[in-house]
Amino acid sequence: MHKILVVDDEQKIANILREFLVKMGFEVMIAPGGAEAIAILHTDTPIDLMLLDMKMPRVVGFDVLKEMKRINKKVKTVILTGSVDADLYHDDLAKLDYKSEDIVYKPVDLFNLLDAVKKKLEIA
Amino acid sequence: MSRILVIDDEPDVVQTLSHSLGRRGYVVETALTGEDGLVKARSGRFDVALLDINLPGIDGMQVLEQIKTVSCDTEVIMITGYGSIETAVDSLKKGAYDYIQKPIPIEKIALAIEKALERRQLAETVALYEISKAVFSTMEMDDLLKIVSDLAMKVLRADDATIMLFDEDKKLYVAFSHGLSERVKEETRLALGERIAGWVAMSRQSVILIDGLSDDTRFKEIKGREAIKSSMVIPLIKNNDVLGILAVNRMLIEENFSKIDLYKSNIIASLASLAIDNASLYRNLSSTVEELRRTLVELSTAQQQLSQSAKLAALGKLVADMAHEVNNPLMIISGTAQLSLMEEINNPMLENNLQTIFVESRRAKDIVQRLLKFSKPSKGVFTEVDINASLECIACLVENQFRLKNIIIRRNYGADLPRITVEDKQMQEVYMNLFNNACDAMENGGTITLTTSHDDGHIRIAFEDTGGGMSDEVKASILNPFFTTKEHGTGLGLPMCLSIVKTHSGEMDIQSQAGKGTTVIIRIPLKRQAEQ
Repeated sequence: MHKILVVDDEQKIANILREFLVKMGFEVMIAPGGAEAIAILHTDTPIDLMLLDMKMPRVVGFDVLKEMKRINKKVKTVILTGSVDADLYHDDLAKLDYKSEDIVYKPVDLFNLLDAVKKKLEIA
Repeated sequence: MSRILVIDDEPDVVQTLSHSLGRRGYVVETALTGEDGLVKARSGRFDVALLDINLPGIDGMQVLEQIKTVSCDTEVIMITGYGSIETAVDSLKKGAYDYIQKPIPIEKIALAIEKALERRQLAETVALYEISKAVFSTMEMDDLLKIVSDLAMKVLRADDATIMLFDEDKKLYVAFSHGLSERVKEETRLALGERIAGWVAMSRQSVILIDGLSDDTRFKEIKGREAIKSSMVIPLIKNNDVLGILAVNRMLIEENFSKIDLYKSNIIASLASLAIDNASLYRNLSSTVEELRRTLVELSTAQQQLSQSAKLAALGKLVADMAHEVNNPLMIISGTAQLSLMEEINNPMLENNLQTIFVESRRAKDIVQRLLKFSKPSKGVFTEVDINASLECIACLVENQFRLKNIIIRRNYGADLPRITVEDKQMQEVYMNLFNNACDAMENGGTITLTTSHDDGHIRIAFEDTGGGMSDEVKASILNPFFTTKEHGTGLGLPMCLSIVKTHSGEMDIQSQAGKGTTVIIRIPLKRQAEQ
């Protein structure tokens, strides 16, 4: 069973995502902010995929990506964010080799999100 | 000194007249036949002609008609024998000034001549007055030049006239000419001092030239126009400035210009100079006024655009902020609805309601996305593309779907269009919008004609539909965000198109008439202007 880390400061969204993904047969962990996500990444907790919001208070999604790169940890990531925020980080994300297919825009049809997740995990 | 021509077939009469008029100080020439009289009338200029009605060969009436044709200002006094009074009266109708019956009382003749001369003088004064009136009757330079040269030819009995003026490079050019060919008019440019015209403009002196230029030492180097018999060239001077020259020529008229002609031509020239100066002032003034008017229009257009783009910028900011705030709640609404729908619901109405919530939240999302698209400054990638290929991409995409609606896409792609640097994705968004608009305008099918071309540093793309067109009111509002005539329209399509075209420094023009279809024309400069 694949384990997904949902990083979103909006609790209701995190809950919806968890409920859905669990229904779809994933194991889900929630980090309510960037700092918590970084903390989890520093542990040995096995994470197959991270579903990452960009705009969060204090530690933003992009900081999480930078830290992950710094500690040389490779977790597959789908960025789930508003399009304005994605644009804001467009160039930076490109530098870290994230492509447009790694980004899913809010509000997203849950099944579209599922497709993106499955594609990233390379499961049919 | 007045010149008198006597035409009579009786040598005695001729001699008597010649003698007694000569004594009174007139210059008299004589002819014994109508033919000879006409030859003399053609070659010399006479103030008065005494003409016998009964002549062998061409008779007096015919001679009268011809004299009036070749030299209309020569006053003719008819001499009639007894019994030809009726003819004499006829002659008055044909332009004779008076008639006198034979035998000729010399005093009466002298008196008639005096009166005829007075009338002639009056006629000349009137002619000059007419000139001054005519010359100031128009402010249009071209009309004026024609009037001046026509009058100069008439008053000076010339058959060719040219007016030359200075151009911006201080060269004389042919501003108006009767006799010169178009090619000569086009090509002639004379510097100050060059040829006769240049010499006159430089020296500010009028010249009379007789039999070409051969007898004037000042111009012995210059080869003149061969056909000219005699010619006058007069400077046009206003307030010490030389404006140009007036040249009048006699090509077919044998008689040479006289000092009196030169005097008259100087009067004409000074009137003409005044009028030409006025006309050119007027022309400058009107072009300044025209320029001011244009500037005003440009200014107000710029102002409009400025306020339009300021509005868009403010709107863009608002929309971006709003979109951000709305996205999360929308995500929660649609996600919750979707999750609920995945539960087993035994209540069709509830299920239906949840479905509605989900669908409508998706619609709200679309609106937000479109709002964002047109409002935010795009950060896309500019690439060099073949505009036809890019357009074709979208045309293919919609074509099948259009075919089902009986809409045909006609391609009129320009050949050899230069490649152009655009944000292709964005431009394709524009094409897609315009295709959809055209489609919506043609409910019963029709044709969309795509035309691409290249002109003047721009690529031009035209979308022409055969749909219902728009009323003026609709047309006036279509670029306002949220204005729509469609049931499910957002009112953002065209504002977005305009916004994208603007980021390419381009223009979008919408031509439409109710019932006659709509054409949207986009022009994008090949050279992208620096982004502001």
